[in-house]
Amino acid sequence: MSNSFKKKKGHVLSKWQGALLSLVIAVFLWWLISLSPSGGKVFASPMEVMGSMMESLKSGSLLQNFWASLKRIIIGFLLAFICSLPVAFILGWYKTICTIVEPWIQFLKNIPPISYIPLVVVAAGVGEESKIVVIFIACFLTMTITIFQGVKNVDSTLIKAARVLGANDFTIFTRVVVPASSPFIITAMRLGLSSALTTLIAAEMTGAARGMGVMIQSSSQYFRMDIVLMGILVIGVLGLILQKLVRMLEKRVADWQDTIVEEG
Amino acid sequence: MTSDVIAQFKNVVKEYHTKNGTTIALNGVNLDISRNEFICVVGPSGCGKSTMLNMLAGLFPPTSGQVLFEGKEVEGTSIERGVVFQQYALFPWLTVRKNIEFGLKQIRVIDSNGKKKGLDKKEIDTTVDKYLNLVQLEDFANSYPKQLSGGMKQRVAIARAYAVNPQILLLDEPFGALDAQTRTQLQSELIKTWEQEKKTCLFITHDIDEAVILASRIVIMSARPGRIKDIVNVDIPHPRDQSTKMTEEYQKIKNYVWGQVYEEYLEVRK
Ligand SMILES: Nc1ncnc2c1ncn2[C@@H]1O[C@H](COP(=O)(O)OP(=O)(O)OP(=O)(O)O)[C@@H](O)[C@H]1O
Ligand SMILES: [Mg+2]
Repeated sequence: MSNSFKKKKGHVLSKWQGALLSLVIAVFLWWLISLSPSGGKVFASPMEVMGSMMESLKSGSLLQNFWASLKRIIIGFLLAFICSLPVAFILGWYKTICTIVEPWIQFLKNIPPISYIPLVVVAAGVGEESKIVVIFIACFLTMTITIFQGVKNVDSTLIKAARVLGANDFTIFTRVVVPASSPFIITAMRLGLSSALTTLIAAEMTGAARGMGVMIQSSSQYFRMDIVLMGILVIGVLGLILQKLVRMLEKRVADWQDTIVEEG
Repeated sequence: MTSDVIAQFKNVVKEYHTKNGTTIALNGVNLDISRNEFICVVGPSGCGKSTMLNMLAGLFPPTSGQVLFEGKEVEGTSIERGVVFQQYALFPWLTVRKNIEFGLKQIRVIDSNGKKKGLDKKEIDTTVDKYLNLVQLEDFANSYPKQLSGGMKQRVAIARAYAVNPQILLLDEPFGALDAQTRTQLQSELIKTWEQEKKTCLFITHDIDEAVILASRIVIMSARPGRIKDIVNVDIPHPRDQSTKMTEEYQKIKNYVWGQVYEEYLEVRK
């Protein structure tokens, strides 16, 4: 029949089967690379990496490093989130403040947060604070800009609709502007967490007793590529888990949307 | 019967100042709206119909002249004047029920102790149920706007505006985005509601059929800068329905209004 829809090929795999297959192929490719003479120098084989993972799990060093890093990310991210919300809303709500502050943000957002590390180290030392401060800066700028976009783009007819239904400014803010921006808040969280992860390793390389960044850097000095690779994988998995958590939150608070806001 | 006048436009002029110069949207509009009237406003695009409606809603003031409601100058929005927008303007994060509730939740009444308080939850629920029933959306009370068709969305918007029991309802091309069939259906529902409640309405439309079937008076606007060109009484008795469109009276009024609007349309083309 010439006019029947052509069936798309494939789709015989369920979502989980697809993910599993993807993982298996990735590990297989990795293994192939580790066999090659030049790739083998950098890429320890999957078995080696698993072995060193078991070892460092047993000795407890992996968990200690992981926990140190996770703590920094979470504290830096949460502080940034708490601060970026009011700042973004104030910028979106008060025109004059926005005119003054927006150029600063536009200027700052092009600077990679890791370039502040020397400044922060001088100001806050090499202790725990300086790591958190760097992560905070990275998250805060990203999240403020994203949430601010959301507040600015709130459909003005919705504000009018609320107003003609008797809503005062406070109600318009809490019942219209905030929920209307919630998709952007979620996107901001997602972008903020990525920035946090990106910045974490660099921040930890300024010197710390523990952390995934420290683990990676110190192992690389002994050419323990198995541990380096394991550290990278653990960070990747952590990233996936954090994004998944945000996705779950999104399903709960922004399920009313037609489309999910995608970051660029 | 001056006491029966609910809203007035007195020599209303509205200019918009933009980067590209000044647009005179309205230039000396005079109109009295009586209680329980259903006024339809027709006229070429850009003649200032929405501008008129938004000023009565209280969204912005006139450049000169006065817009009065119940004898007092309009100074901002009020639940006394409900608005239905063309783009529905439903809150997408609220269910149908919560959308209709929105205005009711803003109402503050003085209780027996002289304290301000909101309406009882029970009272709100009863009102919402009543209007859900009126627009036949009981089954969709817990749906989100994205799950509704255009016609259903506009029904919710109408129910939301009715629920706070405004003195006047302002509707800016509420059926403009709907297909012909849904449109006739919503017109019939609106006629029925008006026949029951006699709520004063100011209804803007491009559709002359719609104006004649709904209105007790039709205001015809001239091309920009907008003025009132003519006002036509529609003496077709109620109850009306779609079969009213077959009557001679209806055709006569429709032809007249059409002729007047067409003149203005030619004016715009010139
Ligand atoms: N916010 C604004 N700023 C500048 N000019 C405006 C603004 N709103 C309306 N105008 C201009 O005022 C005139 C009247 O606009 P209005 O929206 O009232 O027309 P309308 O009769 O409702 O048109 P339509 O039938 O297309 O909805 C138009 O020429 C429009 O360009
Ligand atoms: Mg208009």
